[in-house]
Amino acid sequence: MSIRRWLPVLMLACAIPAASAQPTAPKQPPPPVVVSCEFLEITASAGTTPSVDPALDKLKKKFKKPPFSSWNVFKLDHSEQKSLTQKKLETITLKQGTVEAKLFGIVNKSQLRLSISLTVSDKNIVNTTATFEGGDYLVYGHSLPNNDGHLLALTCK
Amino acid sequence: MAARDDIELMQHADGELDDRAAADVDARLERDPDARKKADSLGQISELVRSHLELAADDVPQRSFDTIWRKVDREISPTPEEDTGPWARITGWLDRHRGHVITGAVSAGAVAALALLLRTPDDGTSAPVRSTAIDVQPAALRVAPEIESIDTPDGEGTVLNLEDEDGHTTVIWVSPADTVEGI
Repeated sequence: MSIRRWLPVLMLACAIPAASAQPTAPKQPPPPVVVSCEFLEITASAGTTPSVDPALDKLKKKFKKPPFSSWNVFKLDHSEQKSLTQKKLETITLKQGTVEAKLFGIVNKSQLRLSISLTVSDKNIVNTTATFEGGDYLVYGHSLPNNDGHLLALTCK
Repeated sequence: MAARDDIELMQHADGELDDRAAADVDARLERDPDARKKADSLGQISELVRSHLELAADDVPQRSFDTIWRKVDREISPTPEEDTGPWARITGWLDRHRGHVITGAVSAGAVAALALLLRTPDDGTSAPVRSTAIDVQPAALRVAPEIESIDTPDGEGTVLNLEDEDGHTTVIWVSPADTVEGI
C-alpha cells in the first residue's frame, strides 16, 4: 500500500502521544510536616491571694487538681509559639532554662509524636517521647528549691 | 450477405472504406431505404458516443491534468534542480501529495487540540504546601496520650492524665531522687 494512504495515520500517531503527554515537571519531595506548638513557662507558688495569669485561662481548671493544687498563684514567665518541622530539633529558650523539641511525625492525622527535653539551670530535668492529640496539653513540672513549682505546658495544633 | 453489408455500412460511417467501396455503398444507400435507415442510426450512435466521451473528459479534475503536464514537462525537459536537490525533492513530494498531507495535518491538529482540552491540569506543582499537618479533633474524640519513654536523670518521673471536657492534660512530674514523700 502506498505511503500516501498511511500519511494521515502516521501524523495522528505522532500527534496523539505528543498532545496527551503530561508536562514533565520536576518531581518535588512531599512538603515537610510542620505543626505549630505553644510553649508556656509557668511559675507556681503559694500566696495569700489566689491568682492565675489571664493567659493561662485554658489551664485554670487543671490547676485546681493535684499536683498543681499545692499552689494557688500561677504566673506566666514565658510564652512562645514555635513551628516544629518534622525531624528538626528546635530549641526554645525559657526564663529558667531551655527546651529542646523534636517532632517525629503525625500519627493518625490528629496526633503528633514529639520528644521533649527540659533543662533548667543547666541541669537536664526530664526527657520524654510522647504521642498526644493536637489540642491537648503536656505539662512538665518539678519543684524548685523554694518549694515553688516550675511548669512547662505545651500544646500543638 | 446482410451481415457483410452492415459491416460495410459501419466501415463507411467510420470513414474506413476506400473511394471505390465508398462509392458502392453510397449507390446502395440511394436505392435502399433500409440501408439508409441503418446508416442514419449508425451516425446517431457515433454522435452519442462522442458526446459521452467529451463529457467524461470534462469531468477529469484539473489537478490530474496538472500532474500529467508536470510529468510530461519533467520527461521532456528535466531541470537539474528538480532532479538533484533534496529540498526540491521534498517539496515536490509534498506538492504531489498535498491532499494527503493536508488531511493528515488537519486530523492531527484536531486530535491534538482535543487531547490538550481534555488533559487534566494536575502537573504536581499546584499542590499547596501544608503548613499545618494535624487535624485537631473535638475533645470528646481525642484518645489518651501515650508517653513512650521518660528519662529523669536526677529524679523520678510520674505521669498523670487529667481528663475533662477540654480534652486530656498529661502531667509529667519530676521529683528529686532524694525526696521521700510523693507528690
